[in-house]
Amino acid sequence: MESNIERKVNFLPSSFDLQKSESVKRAFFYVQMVFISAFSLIAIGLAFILSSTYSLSLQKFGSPFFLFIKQLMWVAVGIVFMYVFTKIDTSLYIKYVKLILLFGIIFSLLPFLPNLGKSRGDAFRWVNLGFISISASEVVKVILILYISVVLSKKRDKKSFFNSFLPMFIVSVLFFIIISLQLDVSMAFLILITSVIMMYVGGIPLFQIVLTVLVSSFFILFLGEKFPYIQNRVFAFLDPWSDPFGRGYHLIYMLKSFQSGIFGVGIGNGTIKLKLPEAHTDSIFSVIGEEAGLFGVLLVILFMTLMFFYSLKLAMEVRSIYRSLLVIGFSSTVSIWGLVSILVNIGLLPPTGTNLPLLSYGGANLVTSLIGLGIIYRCYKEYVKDSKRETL
Amino acid sequence: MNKRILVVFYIFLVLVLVVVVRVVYLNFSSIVSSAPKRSSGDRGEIFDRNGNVLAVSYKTFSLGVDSSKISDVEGKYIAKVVSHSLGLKYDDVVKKFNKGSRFVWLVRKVPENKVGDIIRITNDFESVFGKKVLVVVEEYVRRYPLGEKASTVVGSVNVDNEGISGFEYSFNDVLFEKERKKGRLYLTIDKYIQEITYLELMKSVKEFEADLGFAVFATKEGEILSMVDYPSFDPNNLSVIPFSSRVVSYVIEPGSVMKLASMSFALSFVRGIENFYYNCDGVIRIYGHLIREKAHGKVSLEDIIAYSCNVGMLRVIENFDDRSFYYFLRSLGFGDKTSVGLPGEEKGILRPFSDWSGISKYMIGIGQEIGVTGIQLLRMGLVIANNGFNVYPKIVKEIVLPSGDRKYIRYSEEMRVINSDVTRKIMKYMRSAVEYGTGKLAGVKFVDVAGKTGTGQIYNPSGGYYKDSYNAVFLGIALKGEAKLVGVVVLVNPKRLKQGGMSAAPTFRSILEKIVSYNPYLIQTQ
Repeated sequence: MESNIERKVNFLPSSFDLQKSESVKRAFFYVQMVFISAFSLIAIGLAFILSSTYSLSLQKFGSPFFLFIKQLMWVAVGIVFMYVFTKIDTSLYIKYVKLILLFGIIFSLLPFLPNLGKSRGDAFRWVNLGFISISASEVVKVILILYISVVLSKKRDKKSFFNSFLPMFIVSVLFFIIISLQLDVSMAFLILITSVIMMYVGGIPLFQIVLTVLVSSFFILFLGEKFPYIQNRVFAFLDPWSDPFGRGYHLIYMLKSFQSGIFGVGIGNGTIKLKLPEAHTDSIFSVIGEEAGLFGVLLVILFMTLMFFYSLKLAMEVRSIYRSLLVIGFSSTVSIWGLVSILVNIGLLPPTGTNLPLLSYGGANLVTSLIGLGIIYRCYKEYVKDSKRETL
Repeated sequence: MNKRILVVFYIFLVLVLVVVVRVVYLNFSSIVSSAPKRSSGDRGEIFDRNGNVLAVSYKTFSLGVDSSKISDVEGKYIAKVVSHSLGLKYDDVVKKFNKGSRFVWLVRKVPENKVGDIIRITNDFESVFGKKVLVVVEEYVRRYPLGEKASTVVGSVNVDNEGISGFEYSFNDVLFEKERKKGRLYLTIDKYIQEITYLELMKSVKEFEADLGFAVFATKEGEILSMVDYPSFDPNNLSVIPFSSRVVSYVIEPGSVMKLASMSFALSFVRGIENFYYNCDGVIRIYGHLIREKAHGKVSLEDIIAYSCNVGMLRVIENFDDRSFYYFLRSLGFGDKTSVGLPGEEKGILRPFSDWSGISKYMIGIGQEIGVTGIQLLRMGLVIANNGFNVYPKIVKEIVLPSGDRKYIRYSEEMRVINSDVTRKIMKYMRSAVEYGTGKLAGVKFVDVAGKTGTGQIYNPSGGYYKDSYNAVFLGIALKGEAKLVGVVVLVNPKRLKQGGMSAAPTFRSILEKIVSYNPYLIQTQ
């Protein structure tokens, strides 16, 4: 009997190979779920962008669909970028990491130049490229994720303080300071959170991570003294009713929008978009809350959670620290950032100008998020290729 | 590594749970029960120069009911009581219940003197049924006693009592009630002169079958007594689209009225021009353009203004230096906004000197190729009336801030832009125009009138000018020894009697006659 069984087993593929093909199947499922969630979010976003820009477009541009069509074009551009990045070998980022980092530093400094920099309101964080102005932090985000992934995976064997942690520490804090000097403090923190998550997952000791956060936060204390702009927003958050028409105005209307019943007032019927100046960017979640009610809000949270969950699953599956870090980095810029934006909208974080990735109106954020998705897909592809090669 | 990834995910999950709990909590709580109400909607009054009310707010009350909280019988009871005490039809009130919406307005904007009835209704109901379902809301209503006669200046408000046009808009911050404080506004407008001007202008627009008309009259000091538009809009009706006075927003080609500016320039800067005589044969050729008109025979400078002789004027303009002429026009205020403070003011069209062609100075000198507003013409009239001093037209007399402080608008120092010898001559020429020239119909008994007519062509947006459409313009100064009043009348595209001298001038006369008989002190010698 026993020998019989052994013989049978020998005819089957080895258990190791079986495991491997199962893993590929799983990875395929995960990456599928990530994409389904991401594009569901984009679709929901488009619906509410149309709803919240309809009257604004009509007023400003004469056609009610102007901003909506612009956003559709951005989706198309983003998908093209995504496709391009699925074709770029991730080993190239390792090869050219220094060049990429240099480009990132130069680009993040561009808003300080008089001709290229562009300011809106109090902040000057945009780089004007003539046909489009890009928020410097969007580019920094992508570059920092690439850089940290490379550093953490490369130097893993000789895990010394000076080789792996210090350069990463310097780069993270440097970007944090540059971005917050552009009064883009919320973005600076989000970028910091992303690098902290990656460092943590990459195995950096907790003490060093805490050090990074402390040094950065220490700097923000000076900034807070320097710019009453930031203080103002924090105080408004603590007590919106102290100044309901000034500092608290935004928050009160954002909170009110979530009291619209289970299914909301219906898409297009909301009024909060008329009350808040940039409803289609920073407050799109409130618009969803008002027009699609609790149901719509929970749906968005569900997709965001699914996307993060399956990205992490994928990261555990892809068997290379480098690829794992890339996947985690890019998915966290969507999910964690989205979560922060949601926390702002429901009044649990001070009001800042953070948009909801994939959902909010705006080209740069959408394109970088889709680039991230492209890189995530590329990681999956390379993993499949590697495991096939090993099997053969 | 996988362990750490799981930790990240758990932290994320905890945050998601926090979000879900918070969102559900927000949905079922009343953390924000209602949007903050900016104000009761009360506004400060706008007065004319003599303290007559031009805009006023009064308190009204509205009665609403939550129909989900009451039964049919109770609804009928409420309808009965409401219809009885407010003198409404029972059926009309019952109908409101049957609309199916939860919250129902029973009556809206009942004046304050009926508030006693409303309070009684709510108290009665509460004592009978023992529950509080009736809602009483205070609302303010803005009313304009002068209606459409002054609406384009005074302005109007929207449903939330926020100013959306005229001075209601410009001074919304002052007038709008905030923390129980509101300001007031005093205009230099005279309520009766405003009415007179409006009615006379309306008559003329109808008589001469013009598309529209506008007029502005001011004292010599620049205080605007009336600024009217016909057709206008009814500010007491919230559904009409408001607009600011066309006196400041409607750009026209002024036609021969511009000759006043050209002649002032000639007398100021062209040496030896006083003895100019020209034998007008009605034809002149400039840069290949043949210009024809009636032959006026031998004309002096005075006759050029009096008869509005284009050929003679163009001969004078031949001596002009382009650059100085441009800056002279700028110093008279053309191409610039005035400081009256009405929203929607246009600065007209005076192309920069560098864009002028050779023919520009001729065309601009006789009032073509230049766009002006009524208020700019008034400003030129004020300069002439004030012996060459640049006097600013003004409508805001006094602002009382919400804090109670009084504030006056400070105008920059008045500067001389034309020599007084020149303005004296110009004034004399303008007198002649009314005595025996094109402005004859503007003559008024008891008052001397100096004036200039203009017949501006109407620019066709698709190129050139409309063939048979003109703007009739009259700029007049009422004198009694010295200048007293300055007025501008514009009729756009009158179908009958198209010339300024035939339609705008008599309109000026009829308005001035009424003003003088209403308040002779305005033109009394001191």
